[in-house]
Amino acid sequence: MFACLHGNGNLTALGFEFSPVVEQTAPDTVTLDASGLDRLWGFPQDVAAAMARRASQIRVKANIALAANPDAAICAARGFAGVSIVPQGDEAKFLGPLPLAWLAPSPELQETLERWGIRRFRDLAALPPLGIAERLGPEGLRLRELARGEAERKLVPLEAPLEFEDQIELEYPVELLEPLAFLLARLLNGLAARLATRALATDELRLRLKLENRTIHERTLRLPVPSLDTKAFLKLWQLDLAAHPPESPIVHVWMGMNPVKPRAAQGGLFVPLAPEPVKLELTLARIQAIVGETRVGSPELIDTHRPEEFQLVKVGQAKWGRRSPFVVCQLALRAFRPPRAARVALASNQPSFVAAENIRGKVLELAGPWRTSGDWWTTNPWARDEWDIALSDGALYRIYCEPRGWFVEGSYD
Amino acid sequence: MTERYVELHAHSAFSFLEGASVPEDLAGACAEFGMPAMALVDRNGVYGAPRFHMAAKKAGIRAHIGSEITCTNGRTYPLLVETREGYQNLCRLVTRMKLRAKKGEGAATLDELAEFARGLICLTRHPEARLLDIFGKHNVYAELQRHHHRQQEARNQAIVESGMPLVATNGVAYATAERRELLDVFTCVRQKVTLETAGRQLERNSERYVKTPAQMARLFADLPEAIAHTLEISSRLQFTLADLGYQFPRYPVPEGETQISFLRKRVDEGARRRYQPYHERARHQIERELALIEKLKLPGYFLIVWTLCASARRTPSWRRDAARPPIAPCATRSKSPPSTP
Repeated sequence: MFACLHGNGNLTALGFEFSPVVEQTAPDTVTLDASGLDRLWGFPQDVAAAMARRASQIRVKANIALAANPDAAICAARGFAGVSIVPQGDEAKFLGPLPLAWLAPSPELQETLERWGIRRFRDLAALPPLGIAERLGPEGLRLRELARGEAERKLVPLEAPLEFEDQIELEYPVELLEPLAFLLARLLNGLAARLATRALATDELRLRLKLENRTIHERTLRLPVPSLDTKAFLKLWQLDLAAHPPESPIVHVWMGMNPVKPRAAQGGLFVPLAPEPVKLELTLARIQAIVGETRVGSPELIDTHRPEEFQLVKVGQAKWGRRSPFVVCQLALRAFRPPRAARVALASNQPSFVAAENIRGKVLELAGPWRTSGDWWTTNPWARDEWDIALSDGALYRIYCEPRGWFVEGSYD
Repeated sequence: MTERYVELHAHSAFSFLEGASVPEDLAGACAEFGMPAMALVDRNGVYGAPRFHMAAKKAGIRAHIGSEITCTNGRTYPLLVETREGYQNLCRLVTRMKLRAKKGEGAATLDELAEFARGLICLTRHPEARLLDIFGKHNVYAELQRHHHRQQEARNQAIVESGMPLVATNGVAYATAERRELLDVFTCVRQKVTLETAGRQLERNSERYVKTPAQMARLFADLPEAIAHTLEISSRLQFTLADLGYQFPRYPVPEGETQISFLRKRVDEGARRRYQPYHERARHQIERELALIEKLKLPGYFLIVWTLCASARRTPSWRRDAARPPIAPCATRSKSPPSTP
């Protein structure tokens, strides 16, 4: 048994609610294999009634027809309004009053049939097949089969959309993280198993929690590489929810996973062994839970003249600009973090004596000032003069002066 | 003030979006600091030279002319005009490189530099033996700039070690330090970026302003010869725009006539035809304009225009020339009145 839906609205979704084999026959027509639905609903008219009920619920306006073959169902749905049940064996009689234009013959064939006075299904169905084959060829025969409701063919099924989502409606609100973890583990295992059966993995996990106070708490985890490690996922969710707890007890849990192809990577022989990406993500999440989200990542230099300016980006995503081709300094600077505040005596506008924590001495030689300034268009402009100095304690230092005062930035090795 | 210094590398706003001060401001700052002269070397042209010349004359300093020429090797060379021939060569070089490129683009080859090198002095931050061959040993100087920048100082060390005669400049791009902000904005316009995203394309600091001779002497205290060479070069740059020496082609006049007397007669004939009666006001105005033409040595030009107009009138497609001089109505048969004072 086949069913056809002809009308407006999301016909495909309605079709998939009743059958896994759904054909998108035309933009306004969907045909589905309704075999077995009689075991659920009983007679074909009950199946059709169930479809009509569901259609009205989801606001789909469609003619519904059930028939023994797909093309008879399509013709009936297109030709008759409302619900039509085409009786098996009496298709030709049922479809007989329909105009031939529904079969969309070629213009030449239509003109020929028009000249013969053949205007309805029953007129064509009554013609002898041999005569049609001689005069109209294979197309004529095919039209006759359709007009008689005898055409047999297989459906061209649509692929069901791959959605990996699951949800649990809770009987009583969950307040603590620990019982929630059991629920999350159940959802994770189920979704991961579904992904694994299709040889897929995920790079994004979404969690939507409905709360007792009728608000929704949504969180998303993005992974650096696709994975199916449910233990790591659960730990990541635990850390994330500990850092961002819901405001109120949870009454409904929904989880979704983004399906992607797993990445197969082969390590190079001479490439140092890197930690497994998901485990690294887990470690970073643990560190974030301790020090704060904005304080973990890879440093990336910002394109500015301002010294020491950098931003934190996700680990492994930092971009490093090319170094200047002109080697400025052969010495390495051992930077003090934070820079040490200093007291500096000046002579002729140049440092002559420097004192800071564990540093004290007379300036024997110096180079500078190396002057930079910028951000003058902001409310936070900056200016800085640097000197490289050789102190009487035998060491080389970099000191700088800015509006806040003098600082020792580091010592040269 | 005992130190003496001449700035030989200054860009004005005529270096499109690469300079943030007009020539008058540069000349004013120069005069204020007691600098005897300054060289304006706008990028790939001498567009700012006339205004700089006039401003310098007013401020009582000497205006050296030059241009920073972009070369196909990716480098730029400030070329200073030493003689009138040098000015002619520089203009020809700029014309040659501009003619084959789109507006705002163009670069000269080293062979073209060699072709137009006479009368020019080259400053360079890339000392190369090829430049000595092109301009001659005594016409190439290695340029040192100090903007309190580590990388620049490292490059300076390499330049000093080259052994070429050194000259200190400040690569001036604005008259006062505050103008650096305007230059930053110009840089953004040129690079089509915003101030927030321009990053290191902006100026590192505000040091490219017109510095006093004392400041420059302090900056180059370890290389006094670099300062001394600025004065030496300045003394060699004898050419100014006052010495252009351009003469209009001479108009052939009959025996016993000068160009101005011939023009005066033609104007008198034209005026008598045009003004009937030939009233005093018109006579007075024409006399004033003729005196100015004589002073500017332009009678030849007006006579040539007169000939052209006479020739053009004989052709049916003759149209009034938009650039006609005020005296033209009398020298020709046009109906326009003479300009009123």
